[in-house]
Amino acid sequence: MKYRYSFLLFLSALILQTTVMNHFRIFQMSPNLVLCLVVVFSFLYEGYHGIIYGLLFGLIIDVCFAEIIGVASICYFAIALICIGLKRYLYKDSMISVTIVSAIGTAVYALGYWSIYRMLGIRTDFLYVMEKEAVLLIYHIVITLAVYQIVSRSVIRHRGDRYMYRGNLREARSLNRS
Amino acid sequence: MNWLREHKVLTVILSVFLALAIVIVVSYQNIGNTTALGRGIDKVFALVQGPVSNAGNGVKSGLKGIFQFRSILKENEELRNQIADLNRQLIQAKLTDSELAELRSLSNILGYENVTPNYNYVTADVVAMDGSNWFNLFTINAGTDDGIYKDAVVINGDGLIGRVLETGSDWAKVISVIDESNSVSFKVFRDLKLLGILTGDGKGGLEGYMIDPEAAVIEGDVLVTSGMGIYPEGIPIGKVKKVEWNNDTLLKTVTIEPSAYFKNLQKVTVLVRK
Repeated sequence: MKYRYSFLLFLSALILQTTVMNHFRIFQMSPNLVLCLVVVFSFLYEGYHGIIYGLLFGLIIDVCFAEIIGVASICYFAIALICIGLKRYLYKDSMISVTIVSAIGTAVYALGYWSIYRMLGIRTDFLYVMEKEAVLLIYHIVITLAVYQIVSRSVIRHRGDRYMYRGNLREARSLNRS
Repeated sequence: MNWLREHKVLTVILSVFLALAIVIVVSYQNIGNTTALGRGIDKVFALVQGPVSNAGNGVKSGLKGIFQFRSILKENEELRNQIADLNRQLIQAKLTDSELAELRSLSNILGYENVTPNYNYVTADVVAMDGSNWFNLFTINAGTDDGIYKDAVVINGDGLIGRVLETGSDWAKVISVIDESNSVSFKVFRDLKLLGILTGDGKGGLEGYMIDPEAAVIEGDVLVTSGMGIYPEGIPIGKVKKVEWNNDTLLKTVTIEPSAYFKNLQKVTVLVRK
């Protein structure tokens, strides 16, 4: 995907996340759409969409909506790196892989956010955060799988062929790049 | 230097982490002071978020109207009864208002401190929320052009919401009282001599303690701001949910249920000094 298209996607996700999604909360929770996109773009796509836009939109979120600038940005950056690292161990063409990556992304975001605030002395109860993140985890997995269903057709060729990329990751990557 | 050249990717990653860590520390030391660039970004996003938020709210109201028709009818009936009650109270209040006006004029004649209200009210729409689900920071569509300044107090029909953290020309960022790291002084509405101090409990609620350890505060007591600090006197904060004696601090601690519901704010009022 071209960077300008992914930029527009991230921008739309940010605007929806901070406005419309607040009116459609489930169990008082609204999803972090930018986080879902960081996970999908880092795990499925080659290139640096997830890292660059994770950093950029993390900073925008911090500037516009947070007391402290840089927390969301550093969390998105770490998540993007972890997702890129997980590409070596997980198949892209499996929904289970996407579920695992989404769950890891949500957990890292929550733990990172909580740890940084804790280090700065801003009190947030750990159990309260984990309770909220449990609901959010399911929410994020559903959204990530939905996005995966939409974009996987263009990213993964021969989706039905489970033996296509086995043992030949380099070839699979070159196919995706082409 | 050779190591840096050989590990370019790792160097870039570590540099980004380091740069972000510095940004976090610097912004922590300057909470509430945004740069011109930050204000510019905020302004642009506030411009876009206003109409999008209104559209989302419209869709939500439309869907609610379709799927919850019966409950809306019931709510309508309850609201009619409430209006009737409030009208009766309003008539009584008008009578006492004239008495109050007479007393104020008498107080001014006798040279007491001016007791007339010193605030203007600016009503604003909530155009965006932080979306973190843990905190309740939000952006409103009124700013310095409307007279709003940093630390202006924000309320709604239910009670105290919080204070303005940052302002731009036509937007302001508000931090809710439950996320507040600063303390808020309160008094018990039933007995205004009972004073205490509260702060956010880190779990989406409020907790505090009574200044007098023997204060007779009970569950269900309504708490209002005491007028000390930035918050004017008499704004409802919430109800006492639990009263406990803390053996370590030798203080009577209270858990408070906020009167405002922070997850579904649509309109707020900012108190602006005259």
